[in-house]
Amino acid sequence: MSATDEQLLAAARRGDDEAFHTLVDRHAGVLFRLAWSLVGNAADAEDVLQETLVGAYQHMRRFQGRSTVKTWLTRILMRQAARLYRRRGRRRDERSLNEAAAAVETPGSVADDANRREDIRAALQMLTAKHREALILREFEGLSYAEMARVLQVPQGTVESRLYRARQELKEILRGYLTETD
Amino acid sequence: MRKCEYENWLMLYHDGELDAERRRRLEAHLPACARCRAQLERLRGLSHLLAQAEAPAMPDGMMGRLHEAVATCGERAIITLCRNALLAAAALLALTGGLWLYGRTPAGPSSAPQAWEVAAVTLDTGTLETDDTEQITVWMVRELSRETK
Repeated sequence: MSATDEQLLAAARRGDDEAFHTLVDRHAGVLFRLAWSLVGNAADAEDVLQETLVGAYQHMRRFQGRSTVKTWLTRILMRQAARLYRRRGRRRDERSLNEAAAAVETPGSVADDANRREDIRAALQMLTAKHREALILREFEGLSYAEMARVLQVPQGTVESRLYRARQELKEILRGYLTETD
Repeated sequence: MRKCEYENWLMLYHDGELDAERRRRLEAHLPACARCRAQLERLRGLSHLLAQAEAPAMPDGMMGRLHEAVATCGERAIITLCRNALLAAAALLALTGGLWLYGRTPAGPSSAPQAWEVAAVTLDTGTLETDDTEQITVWMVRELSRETK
């Protein structure tokens, strides 16, 4: 039976570097997907993920076991993504939702998967960071509201509010696609 | 169309966060409410659309770069640890050496009480020609003068 995340981290804290590398192998894929969803491109996602893993390694003694290792890593990654936004001066697209919806290509063909993915990715980047985080944790990572509250370190009511607003905005931006699928 | 009182429950229902009692009541309500059904379909449509926005595969070599970054970080941590240990050892050596040198300096002032100190606490009032304080002062000056010669 393979070791649990908590066992691996405990071993890493005792000096077993291989244990930490095992954690990297186990979680890198999911964390990369989250990072990509948050920052919108693979290069930035890799930077964020690298900072996350190096930070986790350097500060693993701060992990107190009050959450799962996955939640802890996710929280570090969200902070690194926020730092990236600040470093690179990313601003939320200030267009109105109508303009944003118009900017998203009206799907000419349902089979145009690449354009659809790109439009969805672009639409996500039009949300504020807080709304995007809430939506991604729910829709892509499948976290419960309670788990999201722990990761984001906000009350559950705040999670619900952000998720609601994110969906309202996204429905407006992607209304061309939603009308087609309704 | 007026907002339905059950609309606030739809998102929680969609996300599986509604408690059993409210879920039962909402499910009983849905067949009779076109507005709620339409809202729920939009939520489902959005989730379905987002599910198509899968992240690309990890770029080639990324796992190797991640492992290397962690390994390099570990090596740097060991170097920092050794450097700090050396600095601490050097500081301890300096302190020990300093204490040793201090201990080897010529003996300082004798700890035995000086004559004026003894006199100051064992005054024979009969021999005093002047005020106590003045006499003690005279003895102190004499004693100190003798020592400096």
